[in-house]
Amino acid sequence: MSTSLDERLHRYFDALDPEAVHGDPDRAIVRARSRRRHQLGGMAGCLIVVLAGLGIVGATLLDDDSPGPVVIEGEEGTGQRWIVGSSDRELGLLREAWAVGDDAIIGPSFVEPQDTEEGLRGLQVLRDDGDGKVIVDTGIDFLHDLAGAGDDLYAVGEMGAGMSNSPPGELAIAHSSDAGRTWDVVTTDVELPDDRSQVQIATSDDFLVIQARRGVDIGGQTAHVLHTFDLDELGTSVASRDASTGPWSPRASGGGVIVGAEAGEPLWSLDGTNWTEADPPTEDALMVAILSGEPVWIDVNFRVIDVGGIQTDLAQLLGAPEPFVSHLLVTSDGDELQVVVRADDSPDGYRLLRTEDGIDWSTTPLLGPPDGFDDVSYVDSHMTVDGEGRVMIDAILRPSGTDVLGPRSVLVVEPDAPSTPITGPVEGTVRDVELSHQLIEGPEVPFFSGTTGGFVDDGFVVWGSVQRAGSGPDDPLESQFMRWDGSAWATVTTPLVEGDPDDGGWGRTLVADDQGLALIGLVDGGDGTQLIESTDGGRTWTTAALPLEIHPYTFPAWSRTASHLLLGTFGGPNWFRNDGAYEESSRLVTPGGAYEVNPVGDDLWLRGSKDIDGDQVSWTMKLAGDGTVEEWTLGDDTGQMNHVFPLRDDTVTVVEENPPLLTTTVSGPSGEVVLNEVDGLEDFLLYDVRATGDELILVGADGRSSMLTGVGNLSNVLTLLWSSDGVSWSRYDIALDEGLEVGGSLIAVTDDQVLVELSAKDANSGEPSTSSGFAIVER
Amino acid sequence: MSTGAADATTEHVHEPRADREREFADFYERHHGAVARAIGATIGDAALGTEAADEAMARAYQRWHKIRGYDNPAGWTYRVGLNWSRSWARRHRRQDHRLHRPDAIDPRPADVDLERAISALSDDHRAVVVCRYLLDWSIETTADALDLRPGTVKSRLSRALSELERHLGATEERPS
Repeated sequence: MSTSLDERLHRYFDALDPEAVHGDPDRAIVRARSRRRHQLGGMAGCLIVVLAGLGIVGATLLDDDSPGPVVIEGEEGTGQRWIVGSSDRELGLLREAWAVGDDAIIGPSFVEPQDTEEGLRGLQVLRDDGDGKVIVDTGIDFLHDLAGAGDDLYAVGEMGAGMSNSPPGELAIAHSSDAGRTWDVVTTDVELPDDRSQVQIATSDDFLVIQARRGVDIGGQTAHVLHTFDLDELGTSVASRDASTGPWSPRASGGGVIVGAEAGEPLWSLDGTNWTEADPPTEDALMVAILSGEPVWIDVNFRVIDVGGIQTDLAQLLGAPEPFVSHLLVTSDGDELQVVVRADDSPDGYRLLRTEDGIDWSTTPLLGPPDGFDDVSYVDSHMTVDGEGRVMIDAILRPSGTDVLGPRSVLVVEPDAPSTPITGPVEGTVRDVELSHQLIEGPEVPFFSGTTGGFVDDGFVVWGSVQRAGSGPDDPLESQFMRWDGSAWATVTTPLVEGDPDDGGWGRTLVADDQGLALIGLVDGGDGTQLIESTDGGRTWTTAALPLEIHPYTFPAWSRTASHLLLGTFGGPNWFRNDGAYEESSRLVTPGGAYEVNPVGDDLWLRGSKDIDGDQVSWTMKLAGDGTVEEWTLGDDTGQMNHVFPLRDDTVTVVEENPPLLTTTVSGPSGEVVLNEVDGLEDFLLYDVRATGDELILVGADGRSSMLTGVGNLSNVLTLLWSSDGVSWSRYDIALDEGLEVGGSLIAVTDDQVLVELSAKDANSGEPSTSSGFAIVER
Repeated sequence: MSTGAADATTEHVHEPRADREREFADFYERHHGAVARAIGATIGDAALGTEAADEAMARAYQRWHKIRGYDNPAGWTYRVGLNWSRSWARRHRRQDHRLHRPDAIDPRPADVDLERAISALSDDHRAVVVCRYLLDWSIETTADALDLRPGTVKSRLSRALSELERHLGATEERPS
């Protein structure tokens, strides 16, 4: 008997180690005091004195055995390296970090209460290089924030005062031009408001902005005061203004500064004097960067980036149906936008994307965690670009075998780090091709969905589920093999066991190629699974035993080159069988059948859908000849069809958007084409896709726009499209009579012919038309 | 002009400071760890949970003269910390379709299937499960802590447990 859910939950939560969290009430008290100026009022005077001296004791070499940062170069040619900070407590608590020079880290750090006689907490600057770890003397009494890039760093704080619960001191700015070794400090002409609660700094190329938050309301719209200083004259503010912004810190980007971005009115400026209230393209869009003097936006799901009105869906760009954009960082050095995004859930699944125009993107896989670490976290990280074009991303590494946070470290990406272009949207082309086709009225017994088949001799053989004419809707379906010999239909009999409960599924294994016909299944008098072959169009058959087990409700997938494979995916437990052995598939934990098996070379490409929380989610799987899964993609839960197909040495993804769009997008190495926007196609509605490896063939209907309004009919014209690159398409139309609506699916494709199944019905009555049947397109 | 805040401050300032801090320290010792673990389990990030608990405790200390009189000061702290952690995540551009990151739970639990099932819950559903099973709070206490009606808590808990059973059922149906 299984353990009750109650017991499991209690056991689960009890297992969370109570000792894992070590608290100290002093931490809360000190933290609270640091913002309690309203309540404590004049009592805070004593604290001023305490904090004024905290940690600001000159360049002090910390007395510990810290080895200093460790530089770990990526493999040759990656152009990347980790600068792993010291793992001891002080540097582990760096709030953020910059790489300076080739092997040093600098950043602001909290002083822990137990490190001071007074038991108070404050901010200090730590510099960690090969000579050891140093508390840097910025010359500022009470430090608020640090910013900058490269050798030029800036700090902001107050002189003659301490902590935010005291009356403000003189606002001071410190500057270092030697990567934080020495600092010059100046006091400014700015008076901070009495209720300032947080003071932050952002620097651009030639000015800096100090943002002082008023009040303590964290999380909502808060009032701020902005002060701008020229970098050449730090003592005198050149501009000041009030701002009501969201809680984000001011950020340097693209030669300017952005303040506020969340659910408010972000302000941005390229000179620190003239501020622009940005106009988001959508209500929830967030301004994340400045590129070429214009705002860059991202949607609230952090998935679609808008550069000058050009929108890029990161999921489509990366070919990742379910991208992990949970740790997205964005910055810009003015001419180029840099984005860090997680493309999959592996520790090395992060990529650096770059673009100059939002159209052409490149990608650089970022180094995973170095040896000794299991994971990397970019939570609470920031990304900067120095004057040499080095991209620096600070991160926290998790030591192997632990669940604790490790040292704050910096990943440095050199400007010459290799990147791969990702082609964005391209303009597809369609040209009409003069071909010929032959319409073939279907057999008297109408076929239902699931037809497969192929060319034989002068005709073709097809398989389908049928319901005998005149039988009721509840009558069972039967599978039926039919042969068209060029002039008439004939029933094909096979040795398959009559009444096989799975004959509907087994029938789908029909392979018809230049070697003849082949099936797998149970045969009368046979032992186990048999390979059944015919070289005369199904008139006579031979059988041979296969080392395969049959399991009820399986959906076999096989080809001549991979005939040892059997895939059970239909309606129940799912697993792969390979010569009798099987591998449980964690990918198909819920029922989801493959509705198409497409042999391409030695591989089998399967596509289907599965039910996830009530949503049908499409999937694609590539099975190699040895049964290993070489590709697996799962669509998102929006219900759109999203399948991957082989095309030459690469793959393309065909995405059929949901209503109301009903568009088809083909994206691959040559670019991304929205078929509905291509000149030469009016309004293409995709019905079916087939890949041969060299070509991608689509069948659908064009000109059905009236369907979207619910008025009018579907098209009476079936359109074939085929392409060898996903961009340049050829088109051929098969027109049926006016007044019909036509659907279709691809049965077989060769270099010379395409076999299409047609289903036609009267547009007004909905009655099936005798025009239903097949078409052979000669090409 | 006197304000409520000033009045409270006055009251607060006149209270013997050492007694107040001893009382708060006692509250902290008893509840900080549980609140931190609860927030960590809810959002799936133990480190952020601890930080959120720190923040909530700091706010509790600020308002201790008031919070101390609550029926469930820990509930108030849990909710403040949870809200703070979510706000923090937004502020720091950390967006996640499900904020919950099971891998970040500290330490890694043995019941992997249950961990996955919990991670699949919505944040709101996960919060009531955590309150009920990690903090062992009653429906009423949970409702008070999360500022919900008891009926809402019951409903969410029921749906959350159904979801968990469904996930676990699907897991157990797989062939072994």
